[in-house]
Amino acid sequence: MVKRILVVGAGAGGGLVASRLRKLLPRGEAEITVIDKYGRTDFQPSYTLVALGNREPSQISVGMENFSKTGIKTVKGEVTEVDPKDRTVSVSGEKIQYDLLVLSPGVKFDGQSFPGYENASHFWDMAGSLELRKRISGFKGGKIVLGVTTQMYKCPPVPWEMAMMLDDYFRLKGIRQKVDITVAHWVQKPMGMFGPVISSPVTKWLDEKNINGVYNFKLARIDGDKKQLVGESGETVDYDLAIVAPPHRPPDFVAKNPDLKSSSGWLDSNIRNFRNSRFDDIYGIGDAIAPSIGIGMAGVFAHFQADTAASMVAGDVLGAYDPVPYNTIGLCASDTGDAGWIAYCDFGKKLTVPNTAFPDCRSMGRSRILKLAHAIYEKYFLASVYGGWYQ
Amino acid sequence: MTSQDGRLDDILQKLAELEPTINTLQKLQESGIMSILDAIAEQSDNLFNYASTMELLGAASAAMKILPVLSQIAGMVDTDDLQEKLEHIPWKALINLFTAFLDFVGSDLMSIEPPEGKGKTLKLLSEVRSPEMEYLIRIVRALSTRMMKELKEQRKM
Repeated sequence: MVKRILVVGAGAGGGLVASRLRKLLPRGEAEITVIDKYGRTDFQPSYTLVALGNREPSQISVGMENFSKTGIKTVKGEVTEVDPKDRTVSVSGEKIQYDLLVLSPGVKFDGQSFPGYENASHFWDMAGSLELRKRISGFKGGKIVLGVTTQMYKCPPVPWEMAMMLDDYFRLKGIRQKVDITVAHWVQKPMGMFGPVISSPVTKWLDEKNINGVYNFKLARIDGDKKQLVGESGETVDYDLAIVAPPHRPPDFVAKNPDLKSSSGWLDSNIRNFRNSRFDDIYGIGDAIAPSIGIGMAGVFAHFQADTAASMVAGDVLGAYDPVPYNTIGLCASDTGDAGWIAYCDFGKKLTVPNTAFPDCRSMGRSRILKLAHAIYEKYFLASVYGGWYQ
Repeated sequence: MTSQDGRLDDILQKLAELEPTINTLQKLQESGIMSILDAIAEQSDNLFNYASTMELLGAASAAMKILPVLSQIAGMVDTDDLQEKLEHIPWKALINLFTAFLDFVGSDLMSIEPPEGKGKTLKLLSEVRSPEMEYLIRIVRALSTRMMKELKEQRKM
């Protein structure tokens, strides 16, 4: 009997799972359907470039209709409910049956839940990046502050990366001396969550670029009247343009379903096989499981989780068991404005040994040639996410 | 000659030009290299995953650290001057000196002759070997023989 495989989310996690499964499973073995609320896959690390006017949305995005080339069905819509007992997923009032379900729904941005968030801009999605582009291009001088509302947000190094890109942007515009750039963050040092190997060089680069830092700063609210970010202890940071990551929350259909969520309130999963602990026909990967398994929110994690989860699902269908082991490496090709920088960390120990302070991180160094790394991976990702390379 | 004959000649000529390429591809196919390339293409989606190891990324980091040094050295070299100096190097004398040194190293070795009827590897080597390959083999054999001698002497003591 043909197995019905449903994949929720067409991002780095869901998109890759679907294309991997299509390759692993003949059409007679499995019917694969992908559900996504936007109906497309964005290369999210390039949102910074969209905000700075260096990329157009069409350059960093592929439409889900490309899945039809490999016989994968698509549904554009938002999932409102998953019933694990009946094996159904509700989308736009319709219930879709599944035999195996892979959940990679990403996160929900909940700006409304944060006091004063309407005064901020952000680049954590396409719409936000396009809106921010207008504000940055019209910015003639003043104070730009980059901050975050929640401890976990997509791409942890990006506030500092964007600060360095803004430095370069305003230098090229010839008005850098009129722009004050500050990162206000809950960590103790720039990129402190990755340990001194990463934090030390980044601190030096930020100093060289005259980028300010306010650390141990836990944002409580944004005061639009006084144009201030206000910390939990009442400390303030003035701004003319506040670029703040919106609150990242689990999608509603996860948050309200005790069968789907872990004790953290996020999507339940595990790093061994990415199966739900209560229902072995449900898998969870991507940003929505990050707080549950204790790793950051980033496309590279979703990518490697997708490789493993797809091999597990294929094993369920075919009866064979040849899993791709979970690769716990996180690789980040950052733009530091005038140059590119690659850092890589192994999170294996951090994920499995309690009280491990930092992942094992290294820096490949910073050079102009590494600026290419981001562009190369962007093209590779967009070309391969729907399985284009082996069609 | 009709225009059709002319086109046929053109096609035959193009085919003749392509013959070495076709032969090379055939050899690659026979040697299994094409199958290896096929496998790499087929696994291209897993390439990023499999290549993302701390060891490989560490090697790439090391290469990135060497690059600026090399580029600095390259930047310091006056290429015109280098070319002139290269032209004045007594290459023939140097090569003679080098070959004399290699002869000395290999002087205590018997010449390498493939045994009759067996030792296909050596036979193959004798067929394809260049003087450089022969000297390389001689050096390796000389070194390994001396190392073995020393080891034997150490054991005796």
